Amino acid sequence: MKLSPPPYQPKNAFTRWLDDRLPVIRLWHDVMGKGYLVPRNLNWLWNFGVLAGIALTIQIITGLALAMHYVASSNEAFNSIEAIMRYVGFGWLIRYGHMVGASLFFAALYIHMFRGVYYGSYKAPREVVWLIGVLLFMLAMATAFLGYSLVWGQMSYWAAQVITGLFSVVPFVGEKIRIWVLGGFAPNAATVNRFFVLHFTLPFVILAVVGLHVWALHRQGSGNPTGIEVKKAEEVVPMQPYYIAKDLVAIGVFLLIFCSLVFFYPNIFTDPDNYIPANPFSTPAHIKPEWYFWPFYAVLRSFTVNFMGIPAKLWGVLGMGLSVLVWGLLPWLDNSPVRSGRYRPVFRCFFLLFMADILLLGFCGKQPAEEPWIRLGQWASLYYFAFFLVILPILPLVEKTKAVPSSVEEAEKKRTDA
Amino acid sequence: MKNSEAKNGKGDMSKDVEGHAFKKPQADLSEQTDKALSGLDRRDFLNVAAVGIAGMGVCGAAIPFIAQMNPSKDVSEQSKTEVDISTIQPGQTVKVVWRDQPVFIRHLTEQEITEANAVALSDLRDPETLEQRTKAGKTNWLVTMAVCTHLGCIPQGSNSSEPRGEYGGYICSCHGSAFDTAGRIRRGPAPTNLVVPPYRFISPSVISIG
Amino acid sequence: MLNLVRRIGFIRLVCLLAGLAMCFVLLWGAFQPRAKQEIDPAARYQKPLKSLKLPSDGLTGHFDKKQLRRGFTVFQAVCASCHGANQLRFQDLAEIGYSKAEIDGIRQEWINRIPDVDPNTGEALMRQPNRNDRITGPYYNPLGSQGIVTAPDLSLITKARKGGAAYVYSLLTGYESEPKEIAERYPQLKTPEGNFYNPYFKGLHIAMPVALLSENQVNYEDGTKASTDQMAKDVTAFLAWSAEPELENRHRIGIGVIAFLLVATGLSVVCCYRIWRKL
Repeated sequence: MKLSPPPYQPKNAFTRWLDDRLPVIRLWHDVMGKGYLVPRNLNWLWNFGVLAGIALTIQIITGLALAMHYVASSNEAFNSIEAIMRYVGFGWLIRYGHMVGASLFFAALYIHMFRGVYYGSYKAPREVVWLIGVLLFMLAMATAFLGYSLVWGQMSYWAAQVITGLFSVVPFVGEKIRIWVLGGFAPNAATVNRFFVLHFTLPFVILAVVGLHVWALHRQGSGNPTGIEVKKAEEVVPMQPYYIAKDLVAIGVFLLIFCSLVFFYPNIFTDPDNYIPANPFSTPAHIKPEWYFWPFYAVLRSFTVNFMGIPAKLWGVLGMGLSVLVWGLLPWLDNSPVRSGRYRPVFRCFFLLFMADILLLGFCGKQPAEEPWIRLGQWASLYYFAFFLVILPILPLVEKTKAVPSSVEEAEKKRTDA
Repeated sequence: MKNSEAKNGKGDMSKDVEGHAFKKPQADLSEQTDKALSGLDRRDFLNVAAVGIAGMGVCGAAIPFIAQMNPSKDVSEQSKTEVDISTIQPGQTVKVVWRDQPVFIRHLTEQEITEANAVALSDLRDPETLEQRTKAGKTNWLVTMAVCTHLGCIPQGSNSSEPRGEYGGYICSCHGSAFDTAGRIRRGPAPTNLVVPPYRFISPSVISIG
Repeated sequence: MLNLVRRIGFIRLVCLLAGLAMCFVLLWGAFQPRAKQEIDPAARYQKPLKSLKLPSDGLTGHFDKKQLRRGFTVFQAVCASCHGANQLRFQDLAEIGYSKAEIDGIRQEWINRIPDVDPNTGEALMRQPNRNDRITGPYYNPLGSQGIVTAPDLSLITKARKGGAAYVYSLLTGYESEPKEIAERYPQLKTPEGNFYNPYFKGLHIAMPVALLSENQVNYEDGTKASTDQMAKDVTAFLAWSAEPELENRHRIGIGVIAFLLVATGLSVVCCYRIWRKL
């Protein structure tokens, strides 16, 4: 933001006194108040960052309450959660809130990420914002996996077994790493304990990284749907009251969805198998992760043949790892000078196809490891990688973009006229 | 983009006000904000209502998180403790567990009863007779919580190897409260006598606490 | 060529090559011949679940306490000889209308004894369950099943199976004689010795024998006629309660919370609109 916002001016003796000693009100003013200028043409997709933050807050608060009752032991974990559901005051509300909250956190995160891709939010000068965001995504995935394991139901147990199994692909020392991660030869008492400690700690790491994410964003200011940087005072409004009010509406709708699910469909995202206590001697017939991992799970399963001396298992893990990492490469993969998808009709087609492709991948990940889902997943994975690694780098060389207006004001005026 | 040069020159925001290069947008913005805010009377019913209802929502959301710290239902409904007292000899004290806390069951000797009855109520910090602290016709059975009413330590004196203090009952070694043979506070910081839990004799030799 | 490299940039070129490699591997995999997929013949005989209407269904449904009591009667008389309801404690039965005296009667007669220590001698003993003890089955092992196949715990069964209560009801009332066709066409599907044919159970063969055999297998204290269908419905209702005892409460609070949020969100929409209109 190159426009200078109205500076904070303490109104009375107390705020002046406090501002000299600890400028917290100034911080609020600069970050969330009248001192942060936001493009006035943001659409509703720009609310999902705040919504992800709200979901994270819900997760941390409910998680703290759950941690007061949860027993991290392979014999007691499952029963202690059921005891929370039945005997702790409002325990069912807190536990279901944590379960549904995890899903909605990822839902908000995914919309936030797709918005970033479509409007080119990752491009200069906001690459660091994007990179920190991808780091947050990875931390969230790790936290979600650890938390899911803590339930110690059948799906939890086998998730712990399978996901730690990914480490065993590392040549020579893979098996040693797997055993080191688990603290045993299979998920056991030590595993639950360390997973609990990590699951408890990571959210606070996430919180700190969210701070960096917001800091980096505020350094350059928010982007906007036109992809043109704001230049004039007429193109921005202060965060308070305009976007605070808009965020509150979004939070209201978000909470409506959240509460409808918690109170009426709390188990809509879970697998019934996870209400069976972990049994290390029997794997459920069809194991699958929670919905937010389905696309990546499908990528993992799409590598079915050994190739170039690399076993299929290693290809799968490499492919899955790359499918997450490519998000972080985006700022360097796409060097089109045009930022927003609004002015890139060809990109827009590929992007819509990419969204459909992710849904298809997710659908394949949900299905049992049978045909035709494997083959379908292979084609979907192929497009996934092609989109990031082939289409995005080549597109700027061949694509004919629309004329980009010279200012946000002009762009929005054209839009309302049309 | 004129502003950026000026900004590079002076980092301090408060000085920006004087910077002529961006005086105009500055004015525009404050004007804009003021305009928006002036339309919104602070006492505007809708805004007050919105803030109020949001506050209510936050308070409401806090209820479950406060409630969850209460004892869970399976703890608070824990069943009664039944004790067979037929093997407790006069002069002997046993400790049993009720609601995760120890309880003293003391079979008083004739001498201890006499001692307890000899004390004038006016000498007591928390005046209660032995009669009031035991069941009718069972004055030789003193049942009290083994929890000092000062700050919750377990007083000594239940075991013959432990000191009983100068009043022959119990003595709390944490802060020096001494109790007599009726479990009444006689010296030290504890404000009240050892608490008598709810209990009843379900047969001459079995009591049920709780 | 060099020109192209220059235009596309070194980083993008490396990524492009990596991407092409990934695509090629996937393509290679996609064109591999597949083993002919065998359609599981058991799936042909699997039946869709029967529909079941319980009083607790829907957003405003309530548990029928009388039915839950009948359901527990069936559970106690029939299911409990093999299954437990580990997540329930005896005192929880008070919630479906059992008095303290009745609960004491139930727990004293219960099949399982609880390992404990004699407080006087310090010796190990097996005692009657307390009100606070779990309603366990005969095969209960506090350390988990450890690979021994036993009758599953029923306290969460309607949450732990796809189809929920309808599945339990269908299974209980779904025993049939094996279709003749199976022996002729799929001899491998023949019900093994000691198993029973049930088209609602995955794989068709269930180790549990028919549980609800005949009318009046149990005596209902409220005089309801104990037909097998009635017993199945009642015990299913009881198990639905045991899996989600908070259900009524959850729905009741939920309706209030949603109403509150609708008002709050509506108000925030109005405020937001008024603020933006002033621009």
